[in-house]
Amino acid sequence: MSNSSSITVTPLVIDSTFLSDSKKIIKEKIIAWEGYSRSGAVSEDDVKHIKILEKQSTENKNSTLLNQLELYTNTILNILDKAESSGKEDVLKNILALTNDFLLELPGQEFLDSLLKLSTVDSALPYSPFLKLLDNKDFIIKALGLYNLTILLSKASKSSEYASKIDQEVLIKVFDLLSSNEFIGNTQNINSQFIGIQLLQELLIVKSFKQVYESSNFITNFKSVNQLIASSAKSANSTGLQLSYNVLLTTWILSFSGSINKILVHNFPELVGNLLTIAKESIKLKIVRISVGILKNFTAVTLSPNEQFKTVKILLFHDGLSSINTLRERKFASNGSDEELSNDLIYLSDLLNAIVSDRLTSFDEYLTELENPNLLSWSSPTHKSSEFWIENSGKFKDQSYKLVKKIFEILSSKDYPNSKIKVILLNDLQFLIKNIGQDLVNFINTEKNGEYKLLIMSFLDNNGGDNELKYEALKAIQLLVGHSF
Amino acid sequence: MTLSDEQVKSELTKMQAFIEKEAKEKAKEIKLKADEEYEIEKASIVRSETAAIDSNYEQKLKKASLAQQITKSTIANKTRLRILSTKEEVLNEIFDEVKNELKNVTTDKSKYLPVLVGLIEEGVLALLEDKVSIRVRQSDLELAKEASIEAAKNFESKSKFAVDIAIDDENFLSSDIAGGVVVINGTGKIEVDNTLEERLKILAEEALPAIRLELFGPSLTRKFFD
Repeated sequence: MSNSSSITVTPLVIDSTFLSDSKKIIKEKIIAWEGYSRSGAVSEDDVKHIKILEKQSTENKNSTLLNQLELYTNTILNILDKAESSGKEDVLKNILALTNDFLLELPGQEFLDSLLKLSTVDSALPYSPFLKLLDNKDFIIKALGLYNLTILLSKASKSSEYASKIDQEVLIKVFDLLSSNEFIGNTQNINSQFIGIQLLQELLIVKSFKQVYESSNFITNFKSVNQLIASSAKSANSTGLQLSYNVLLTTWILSFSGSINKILVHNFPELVGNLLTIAKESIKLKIVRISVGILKNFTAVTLSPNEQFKTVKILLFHDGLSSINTLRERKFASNGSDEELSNDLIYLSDLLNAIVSDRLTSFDEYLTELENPNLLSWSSPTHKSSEFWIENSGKFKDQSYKLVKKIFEILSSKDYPNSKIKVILLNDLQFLIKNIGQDLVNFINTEKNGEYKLLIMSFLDNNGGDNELKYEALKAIQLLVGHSF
Repeated sequence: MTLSDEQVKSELTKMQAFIEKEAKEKAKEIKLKADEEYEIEKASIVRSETAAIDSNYEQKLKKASLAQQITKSTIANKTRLRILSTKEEVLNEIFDEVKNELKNVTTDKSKYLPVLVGLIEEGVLALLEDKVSIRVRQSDLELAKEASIEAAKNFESKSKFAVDIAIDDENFLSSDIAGGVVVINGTGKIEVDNTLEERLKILAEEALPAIRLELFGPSLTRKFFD
């Protein structure tokens, strides 16, 4: 969208008192330029220019810069480069803060454009000087570096000429750092998380950047975001309202892609449940609105009707229908105060109701559990209900015992070490054997040279002290070796 | 505890700032949603239109290819027919020439006499009657008399009964034809046309395959041979 609107889009202003305070401290510190010029850390010319700039008051600074834009652009980049290689941190911080101010404060964004123009001259510019700083140990240097990069990248993406010059590696490095435990993943420091998530959010708004995020380390990177959502669900206050809002907004931006939704729903099994919890328990309208918005996208923007069905089943599994109905009755959803929220709630409740009445059976519930083994629990009525097994055992024979094989796959997989899962599955196997009879016994005993039977037997010894697991394994073995039916 | 004016002002400012911020956030959400939904809609429209264009062009391509095939086939047919008609012309030329040659043959009496005998004999054998009459060209009248005597002799030895061959000397065959006889039975109702033209006609039909083979070589595309 190169000429989409007549409104100029201004660079992102990060909401962070920590950052603004840090910048103030940096700018108050006086840099001994002469000393650096003598030691060769900065060139004489550059020192000359930077001192002129520093002497000015804020208003004059801007006009001085504008009068010799190219000159000062080069000066600043040179100093940045030299300081990075010589490791002079205070110079780095000073220049980064200065750059940041110029990028944000000029209403015509001339400095920003001047930097971007350099990309037509040299393919490494203007990003690599800042990119190199991302390996620095100092947090503020990294943060300011990322901030400046984000502003540059964001503006560049809006013009096709500059957008084509963006190297994917830059984006990948930025995403990786933002998602790491230095920023979004830093559970000890809310400030870092807050800064990180705002930057990530700004970048993901750009469609091409979103695609890079999806195609490189997506699951690893999203873990930190998911972690924040999980802690928001546990207690809204521990994460802070604004941070929760930004995390959810970022996720919402991601949820407009069917392929992303599929990966999210299947790889982060508690995500849907957490979102429902947040929606139900939050007192802030905007938080509820966004959580519901994400859930709506999970069900509305899907790769196929089958994917939609699977996601709806997960929602229903977490008692989604009653949550949505409760929400609809709450004041701020019903009295027309927020159109988007009420529309999304209506969409979700219609969809869930339709599926419950038309398509869902308890067998589907069981299938959902098999597909997402972390959801296996006694709360699902299927496991102990003899009617369920009488009615549905036949289906386990289909396609040469496909579902039975799946059960054993889960039992032997290292991904699900929780013994409760094994206990439930062993219980299910017993019901199956009782209903299907000798055929299933033969299958289990002979398939893969008796590997399945050995697996169950292994639980007799190998059960990590879980007596229930031992007991269920024993009962299962009893049925397997017992006399024919 | 009442608030001072300063405090009230400060609270109002704070509230105002808060409301503004919330509104800005909501505005941003609306814009983001609009942009995303635009992208999704655009992508789906592009997809469906591309599919429509593709299928359109596939149809056009099919039609064009069909038309081309039809033209090809029509031309092939026409060419084949031309070839066939040219071949036929050649054959007809041959037969016409033969017809002319026939006329020459009949001038050589030593060649013509045995032919005439054979023709008359054949005709009589076909009829198997004891009384027949023959009709010839006026120019062949004398030769015919000679031939009929021998023919009758041959016939008798083959059939074991005699035949009386009368020569019609009032009605003659047209003098334009090359020669031969017409053998008529006793009641005058059955005629055996053994004129040279007629023989040529029969021969032409029978010999046609061989002649064709000789002139044009075997047919490369022929599939059925019985």
